[in-house]
Amino acid sequence: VTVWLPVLVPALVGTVTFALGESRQRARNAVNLGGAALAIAVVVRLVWLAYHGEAASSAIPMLPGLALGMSADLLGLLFAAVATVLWGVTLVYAIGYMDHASDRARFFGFFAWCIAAANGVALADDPLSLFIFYEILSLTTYPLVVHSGTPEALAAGKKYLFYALGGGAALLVAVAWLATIAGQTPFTPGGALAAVSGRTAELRVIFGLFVAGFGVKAALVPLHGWLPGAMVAPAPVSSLLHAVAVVKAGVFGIIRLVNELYGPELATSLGVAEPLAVLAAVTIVFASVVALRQDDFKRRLAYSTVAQLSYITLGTALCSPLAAAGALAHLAHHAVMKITMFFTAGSVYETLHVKKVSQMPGLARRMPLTMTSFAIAAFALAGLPPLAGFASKWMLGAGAVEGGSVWAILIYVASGALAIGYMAPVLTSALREGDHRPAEGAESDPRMLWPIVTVGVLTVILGLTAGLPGSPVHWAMTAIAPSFAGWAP
Amino acid sequence: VGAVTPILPAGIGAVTFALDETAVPFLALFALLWTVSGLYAAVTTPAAERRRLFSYYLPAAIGGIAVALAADAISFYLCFALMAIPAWGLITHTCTAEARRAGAIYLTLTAIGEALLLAALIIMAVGADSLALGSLASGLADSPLRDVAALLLLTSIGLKIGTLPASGILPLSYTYTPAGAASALAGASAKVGALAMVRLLPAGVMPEEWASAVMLLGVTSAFVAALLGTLTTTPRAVLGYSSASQMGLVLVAAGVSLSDPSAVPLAYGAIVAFSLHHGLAKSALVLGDDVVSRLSGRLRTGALVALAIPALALVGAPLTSGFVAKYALKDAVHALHGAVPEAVYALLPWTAVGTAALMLRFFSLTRKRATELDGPARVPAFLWGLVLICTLVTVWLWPAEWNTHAQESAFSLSAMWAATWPGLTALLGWAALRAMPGAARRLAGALPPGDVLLGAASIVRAVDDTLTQDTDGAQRPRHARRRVHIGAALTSIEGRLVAWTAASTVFVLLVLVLVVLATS
Repeated sequence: VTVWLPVLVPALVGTVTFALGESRQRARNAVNLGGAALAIAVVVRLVWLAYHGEAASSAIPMLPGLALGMSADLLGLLFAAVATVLWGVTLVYAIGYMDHASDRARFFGFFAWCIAAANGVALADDPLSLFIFYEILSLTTYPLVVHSGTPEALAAGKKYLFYALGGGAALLVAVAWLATIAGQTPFTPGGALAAVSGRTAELRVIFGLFVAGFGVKAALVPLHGWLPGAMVAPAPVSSLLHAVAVVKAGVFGIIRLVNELYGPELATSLGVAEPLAVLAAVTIVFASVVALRQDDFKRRLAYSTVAQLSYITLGTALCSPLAAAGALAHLAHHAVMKITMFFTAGSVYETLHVKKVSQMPGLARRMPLTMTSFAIAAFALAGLPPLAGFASKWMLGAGAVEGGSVWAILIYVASGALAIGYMAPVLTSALREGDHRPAEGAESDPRMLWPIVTVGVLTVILGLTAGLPGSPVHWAMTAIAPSFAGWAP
Repeated sequence: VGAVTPILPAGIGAVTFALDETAVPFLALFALLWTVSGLYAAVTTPAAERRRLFSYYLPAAIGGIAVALAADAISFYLCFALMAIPAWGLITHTCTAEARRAGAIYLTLTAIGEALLLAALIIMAVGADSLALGSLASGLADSPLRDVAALLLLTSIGLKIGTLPASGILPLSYTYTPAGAASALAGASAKVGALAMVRLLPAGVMPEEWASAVMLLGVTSAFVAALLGTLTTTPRAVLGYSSASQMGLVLVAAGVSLSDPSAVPLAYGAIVAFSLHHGLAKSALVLGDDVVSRLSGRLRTGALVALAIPALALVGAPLTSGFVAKYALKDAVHALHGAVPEAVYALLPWTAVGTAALMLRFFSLTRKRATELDGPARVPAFLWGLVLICTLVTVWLWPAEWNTHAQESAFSLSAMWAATWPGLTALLGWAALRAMPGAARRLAGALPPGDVLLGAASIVRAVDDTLTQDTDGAQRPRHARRRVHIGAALTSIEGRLVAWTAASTVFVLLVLVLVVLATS
């Protein structure tokens, strides 16, 4: 039963939040924060079990021959841990950010449900279960995107829904088609399709449909169009959408697809991995270049997200163990780095109504802690040691070399340089002398400030401890190893 | 899983530092220059700006000193970045538009250089299955990626030391920087490129053509940078081009090390000798230029005369540090046989003519500098004197193989003459130029610091501007629209992609599926 708790706890929190209604703010906050703490404890327990080879699993029969399967393996738990831990941090931030907003019950309710769905995606044991949670995730995030209710938000939400449901449709076709030729195929490290590997043409098409389905949330060009528009949502939602749950559900799906449904070997021999790698490479360069010229702070971050997600996709598609592990580690590292940045964007907007990079001069003195945390995250994103982004980038690059794809390493380092290019203007602009004067009192609401500092510090800690057992890097290597026979970290 | 593979960046535990034979001279140089320059900057910077300057200077100094001790790929990369990125804050310290532009160009090239370095390090670490700097290059000998790694490294180093066509990066980074910080950048920062040559370049395993090409590139850079430098307008910019020119000579030594294993010790000796010599002399010149402006009357004249010490050293006049360094370089080039090494060997003395011309230009500009007497003068002059003394004695006293040959032949007539005629030639040329009427003389002063880089930057900015305009959807005159055709195209692609709805996505997918099904 424990394997269901990461889904059930946030789901229950969401339901209770709705039941409590708008006015009972204290109770709502207590339920949410308590629920997050409980969910984190559950995930820690599951990780403990998985590390000791007793991964919990469970299945509920739905139709004859079809079951809703859950399994708390290390691969899924990494995503679940990222989602759950950052849910806790984001809650604190959101309570501060939404202090004067309306409809907070709706907001926090869907927020919790969204985490429940993301945890479901993480722990789903087969394509069908994953699909179900994936769709729930799409539906529960829609109210968050349109939360403000402005025409702009509604338009962005509509676009998001179209994209998400379109992707979902592709995914459903893929899942159903696969089920007809291969029956129930629980995720298996190294691939679950050995029995039907001869049906190459169908498998290729199914793979394409899977990629189209996951690619929407993973923001592969040209399926990324919803993401920059969805920036109109409140900052905690952007953080959640862009850093944690939604986009990561997409790349996580691709990780499951390549490593545990098709398996790296079959994906390579079918010739489907390479086109995916090329598509990801194109996305990285394209989005990085587009990010260079965004004056809107959140849009700039959004295109950075598009590029960084394809880091993960590319690493997975290279089908080399180090790159695959690096991709999984980057899923966690990027979440922490990018959430720091979106928290910053939200904080400078909520505190000073700064939306654009060009409005930032003087900001470094006005909000020193916030901007220092942002700078750390930016340097980490650019891949400077000893910060989090460096460790995963090194593994991605080393994996590319080991797999013989030298072109991919050039993509990685080029986008590293581009990351400096699109992050540096933010920092240099903030460091310039400008209109913002040092604050008299606190630089911003402490409920926003401290989450930012926390994730900023976490960026450093993850980088410093990258080699230690239990770190995302180590965890990712352990989780990926079974997919590559004969390879051990 | 205890033994995590050595390819992994195992946190801070894997960042190793060691004091080995290569590290000692570089550590001595970097520590001295970053410290003295820092003191100089502390004394000469107005109190209100000190904190801002040093919040960049200190990290840069830490990285710039520690890089000499870095013993593995990650610590090297870390120190390299720690030095190079905060240097942006030193360059843009004055907050003027030019300084900011220089900083932007610097940061762009640095980001590219860092990226290329990282790529090379990853390739080498995977090949060597180790992160230790000592074994990195060994994995390249039989690797199919040898050439790729070497090219990445050379490009990255070239961006650091101002090899053609990036020779403008050094003058750009010196010109607007406050004197103390500029001295550190001029003396220590570019020498990290020299350190990288010794630490990282695959020595003795590259084909001969590579060695020849690199040597030719180095010599060409030396000449072209000297030419650009004589045309430029500020003393600091002249010194920047002079650095690019001298680092071209260091690149020649690096070229020597590439192909022939037997020449590697000589080449490394030359690189170390040149780094010590040039680092100290260039730092003395940058500081001296500033000291001169703080003095008046007889003291100022005295300072100008003392400024001749490092200037003569750069030219390689007898009994100077440059004399020793050039001996070491000649010895190294002489160890190779073939048409290209011999041609380079014959060209080397002529590079000194270029250097002498640069120094003359530097003097004529410094002499005319306005006096600013309100700042402190005594402590700066003392610090400068310290560097001057080091310039005079260090390379002679340094216990190393590379100075024995120079010591033996220091007083032979032929050696003295060989070290003197380039300077005399430049003097003659200078006199001839002064005698010439208007047009030729006005050439000098035609070039802003940064040469081609400024041109490149303005192109980039033009493209960038048009792209930004396009997103605003502003109405622009027709001729402007035609000029930015590519930018507009890129933007409209993105515009269309963002506008694409899921319906069309699914439609396209279904068409693709049908096509695949029909053909299989």
